[in-house]
Amino acid sequence: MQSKRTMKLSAVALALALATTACGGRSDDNASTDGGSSGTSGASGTTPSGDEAFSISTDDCDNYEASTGVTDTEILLGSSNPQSGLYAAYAELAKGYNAFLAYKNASGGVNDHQVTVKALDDGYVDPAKSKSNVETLVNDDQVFGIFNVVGTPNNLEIRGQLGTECVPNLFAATGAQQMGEPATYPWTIGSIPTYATESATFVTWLEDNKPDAKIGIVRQNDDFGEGYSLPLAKAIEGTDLTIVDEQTYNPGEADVSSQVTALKNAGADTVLVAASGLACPNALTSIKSQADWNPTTYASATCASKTLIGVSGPAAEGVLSAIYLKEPANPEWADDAGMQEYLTEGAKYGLSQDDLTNGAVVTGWNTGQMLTDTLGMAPELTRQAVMQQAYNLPGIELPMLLPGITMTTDGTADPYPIESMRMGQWNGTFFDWVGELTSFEGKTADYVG
Amino acid sequence: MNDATTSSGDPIADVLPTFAVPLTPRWNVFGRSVQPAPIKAGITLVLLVVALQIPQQLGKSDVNLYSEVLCLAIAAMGVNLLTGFNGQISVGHGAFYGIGAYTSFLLVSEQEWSFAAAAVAAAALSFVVGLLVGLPALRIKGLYLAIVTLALAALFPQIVIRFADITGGTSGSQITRQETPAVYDFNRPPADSGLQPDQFRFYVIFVVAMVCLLLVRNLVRSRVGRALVATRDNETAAEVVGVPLARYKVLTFGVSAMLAGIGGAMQVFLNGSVNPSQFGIELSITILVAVVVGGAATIVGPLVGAFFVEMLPTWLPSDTPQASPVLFGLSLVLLMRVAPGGVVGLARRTWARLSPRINGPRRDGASPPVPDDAAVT
Repeated sequence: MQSKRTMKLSAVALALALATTACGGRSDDNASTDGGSSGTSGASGTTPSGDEAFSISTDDCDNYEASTGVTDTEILLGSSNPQSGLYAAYAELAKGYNAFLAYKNASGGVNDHQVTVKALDDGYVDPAKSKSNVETLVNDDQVFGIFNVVGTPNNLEIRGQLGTECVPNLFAATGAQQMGEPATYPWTIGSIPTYATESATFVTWLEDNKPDAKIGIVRQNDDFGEGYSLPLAKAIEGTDLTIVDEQTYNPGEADVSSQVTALKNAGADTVLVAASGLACPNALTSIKSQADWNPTTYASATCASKTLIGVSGPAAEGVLSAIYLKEPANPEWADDAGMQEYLTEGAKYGLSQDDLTNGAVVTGWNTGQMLTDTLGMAPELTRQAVMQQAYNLPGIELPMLLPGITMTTDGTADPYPIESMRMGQWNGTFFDWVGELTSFEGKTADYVG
Repeated sequence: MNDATTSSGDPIADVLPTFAVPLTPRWNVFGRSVQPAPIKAGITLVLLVVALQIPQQLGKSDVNLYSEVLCLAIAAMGVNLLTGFNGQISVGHGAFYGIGAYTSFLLVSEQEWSFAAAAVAAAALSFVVGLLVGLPALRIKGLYLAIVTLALAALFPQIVIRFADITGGTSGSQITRQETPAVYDFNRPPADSGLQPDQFRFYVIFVVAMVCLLLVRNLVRSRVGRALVATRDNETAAEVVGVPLARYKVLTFGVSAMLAGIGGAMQVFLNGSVNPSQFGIELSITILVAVVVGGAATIVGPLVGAFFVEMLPTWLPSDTPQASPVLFGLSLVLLMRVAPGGVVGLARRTWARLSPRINGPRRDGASPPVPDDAAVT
């Protein structure tokens, strides 16, 4: 019958088709297959007091390539950030570091290497997109390393693969404590102070200014929110501070007025708002709208950006937050050399007046400097050397950090670059100082859950 | 009597009255009447060879992109079966995809099952949940069913976040060599295969997709398939003819959910991670878009549609990412204007125009059977 003959022909042809898969092939086929070792990624940690610097082994890497992305004149890095969608405000970070890199490149770059960052859009909400962007950058664009990827879930998604391939994931744009786990993920490091550092700063301030405060927490129901509440609980041990209530909301929700009311009813006289996105200004507005209640309010640093504070309007006045960068709107820095450099050179290299006053742009500018300083200090431009340098930063001062704050890391003993902050209070234009610079250098690890 | 020019060599067709539907519609290729089957087999073979060469010729990111296409295609096959062939609108299959993904992920990462076993469990669970959703769906139709399934799609990520202790919540969960070394190899090629990880994953997902395709094809071409189509076109008539409506409708829901669950499991095989934001309303809509763009109620429509939906954003200019979603939407609108029957529908119409006369009406459920005017000449 026709169909039987057709089937036989198809079967033979299918076998031939499968056979053809053995022919041809990609240029990477002759590369060795996976490292095979199922041990943890090589990180020979060191004791805190050891003279030996933290080093990273490349023995367990899948095809370790030391200098991909580096030519005689250029260093190419890649990034994945939300350039579109609801979180596009975080693309302002890229504006900041690109302006700084343009400025730095104009005067020779890093050891005569021009530094460029190629950033692909991931919209923030789908970490799988971040992962595929990173794969494209590493495999197709052959970047030296990944830089300043935005978002906790996004960084969690990519750090495993980057760790096994031994590609640096430098200065992640998130305050999640998981960015400082060099024992398991030595190829990933964070940049901004962790949420734990923020909580600890707030607790220290409370001990000095309101030692018997009754704290109410309204937080996001996930790792981000717990990044504040767990360290806070740890930090108040042994003090007279108490947590009287903890309310949560789901990410994506923007209305937390009922949670705020619950905190009031629980008798809180101090409120920690561990919220991101629109829930934060909503919380601040709800607090202000309550009659007969005027709690001391602390808002997460992620909320302290011009955009979100702006949305809160007058409700944000008096709100506390922890600061580590100089604000352009603060007249204290009008004659500061670092601020002047930022304002002049930033304007020269693509930043508008609006951009210059945006805290996210300042953060980006600062992170750009973290990058070039690390690249410049590394003994050689290899992935291993640069990553080791990132975990061995010797107390560097950067022009936009508050005086007294330095960037310091020491492998597993101190995996977080910036751990000092100062309490400020929003006065409608900038954060007025209400406390002294508090340093938790080397101590963040004590507070994390 | 038949027109002399259509003497097809088939004596029965020559004798039958002109209004009868030919049992084996032939194709008119360059004026000759040929059996379509060998030609279709030939085209399929060529495409198969091309597909199998993808991991050999393209770079890692492209291969992974094609693997994503296949995962989406499997889910689209499910929705196509339910919505295209059976007329039950679902904008909620992202939830079944997510159930398949989380089930297989958690079984592998927490219980250290082999992936094959985990995938089977994921398919089974999706099937059962599909049945459970299909039961109340019997009483709702059309737009209302769409809304209810949309609610399901919105609910799924919330459930995942609610049980963050098990699922990892909004941060998602990842299988990495650093933290779960025991199961890290679950989606990596055997050491002696000579394949890179991305190639291996493509081949595995490809085989699974082809198996699902064959499953759907055989189902659609069987009596059950015709019953499903009859249910779509006229439920009362179908019931009168003896189709067990409730049983078939619920089972179809189950099978379509199972396919979506398999798609989700394949995604976990590809990525080794899960995150609730991947399995929300957007995904459900994307699957439906893939079905419609490809061509609803066609066999290969889901594959074609998934291809377009995943590839179209990469074809658009990428220097203004803010414009990208707008351009994507515009492209879809244009496509539906030009090809309301999807890409496959457009291909068929073009083919019918190129070779009109003796190409009879379709045997499958793509459109209600209508006597071909062209045959009455």
